Amino acid sequence: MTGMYTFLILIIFILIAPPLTMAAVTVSGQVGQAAPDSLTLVWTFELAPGWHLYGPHRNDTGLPPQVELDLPDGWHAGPIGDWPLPRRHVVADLILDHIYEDRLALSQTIHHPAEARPASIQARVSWLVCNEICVPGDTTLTVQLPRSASPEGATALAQVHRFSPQPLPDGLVDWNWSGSRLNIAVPGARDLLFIPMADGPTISNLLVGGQAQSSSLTLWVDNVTDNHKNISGYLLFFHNNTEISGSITFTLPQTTGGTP
Amino acid sequence: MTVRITTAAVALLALLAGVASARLAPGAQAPVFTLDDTDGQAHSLASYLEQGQIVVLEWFNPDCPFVKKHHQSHQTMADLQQKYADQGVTWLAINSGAEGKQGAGVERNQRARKEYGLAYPILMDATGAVGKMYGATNTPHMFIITPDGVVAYAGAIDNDPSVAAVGDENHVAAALGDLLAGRAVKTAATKAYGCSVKY
Repeated sequence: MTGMYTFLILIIFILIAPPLTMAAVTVSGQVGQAAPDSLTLVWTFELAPGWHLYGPHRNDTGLPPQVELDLPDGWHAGPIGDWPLPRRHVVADLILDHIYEDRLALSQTIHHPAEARPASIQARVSWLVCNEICVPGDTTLTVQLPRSASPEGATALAQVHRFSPQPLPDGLVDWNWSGSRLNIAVPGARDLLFIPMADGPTISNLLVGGQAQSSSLTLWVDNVTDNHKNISGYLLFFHNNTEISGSITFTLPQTTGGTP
Repeated sequence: MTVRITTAAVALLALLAGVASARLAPGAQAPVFTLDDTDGQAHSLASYLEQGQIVVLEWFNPDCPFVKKHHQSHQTMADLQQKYADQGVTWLAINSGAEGKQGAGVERNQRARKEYGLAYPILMDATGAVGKMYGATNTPHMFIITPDGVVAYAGAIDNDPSVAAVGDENHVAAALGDLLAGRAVKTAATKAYGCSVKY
């Protein structure tokens, strides 16, 4: 009888237990493009349902994934790039993040001397994955370095480029400064959303001001330092019922005393 | 559990919420509150301030990796609290996690207090009312309040937002040093990092 109870408890536990954290993220790396003196790698994070990752945007919580490469002398890795458009995620009308769910694919270019490559390199990939809880994770991958990218690798890189927001055309977005207020308008558009990168100055009203149903946004910019030259990020809006998104950079005005 | 927050403060923050996030910034008047700790003892912010104490508030979730960094891998908070305990500084942890959320509940926090060897109380704010009044977004999220009830510092504990490493600049230590020396706090606001408060 005791054995049966134990068995039932075990079954119930299996049924209600949360997914194992190890299964929340699966990471892979492959060569997407190979030139004589450079490689472009594609890092792909597959996420279990309900879990999310963060990017290098202005977030209240979380951290973007990181890759540490063990490279031969003379090799130099560029930053992880081609971050796709994240989803705005608000908790308790207070906490604002921009997150990736389901799948995140990124690129990273490595420059190297035009000599023989090793057959593979090691990469330590780390991340913080969250749902109701946050769990740090890491893994060490061996990335094979073929002479040329495989068709799968080339396709993966093409997908990364396809989903990476490109600069919005000049003239599409009207913007100006009014003191420390940045006014952004897209005539004829609706549902504007601005997602700033993390390295810019503080936007103190981003939670309520970063998104609007109308064709314009006003952002309150403060804590500008000498290190800040501009505010960059992604702008998303609907125009003629078509969703349009792209990257954009707003130059900070000439300052006196550090504030626009 | 007892939660008492001044009505005027609620009204003001509700008003602010309509136009901006309700995050207390340095220079703001700190809303007073009374919360019970894990042993059921009430702690009144107003009472500590009346005693002339500088009060450090640390938003806490024992199971958040960033909290573990400062309580398990390192003793950042406990060491700092001990350093300033006899200099008129009262340190209070606050858990604003809702019942059932990660790290919430009296029992878990009673255990955490022992596990982390905390000499200071963990106040239970399961409704999240106090956390939202302060605009606490992260665990850990730090606030320093002067005896006259003004927020002197708001933000991160230090300058390393990673999960494992501790920063080489401790913002709370620096701010407490400034206050105790009678100086204006040089770095009064930083961006908090860590997990989200589990409201």
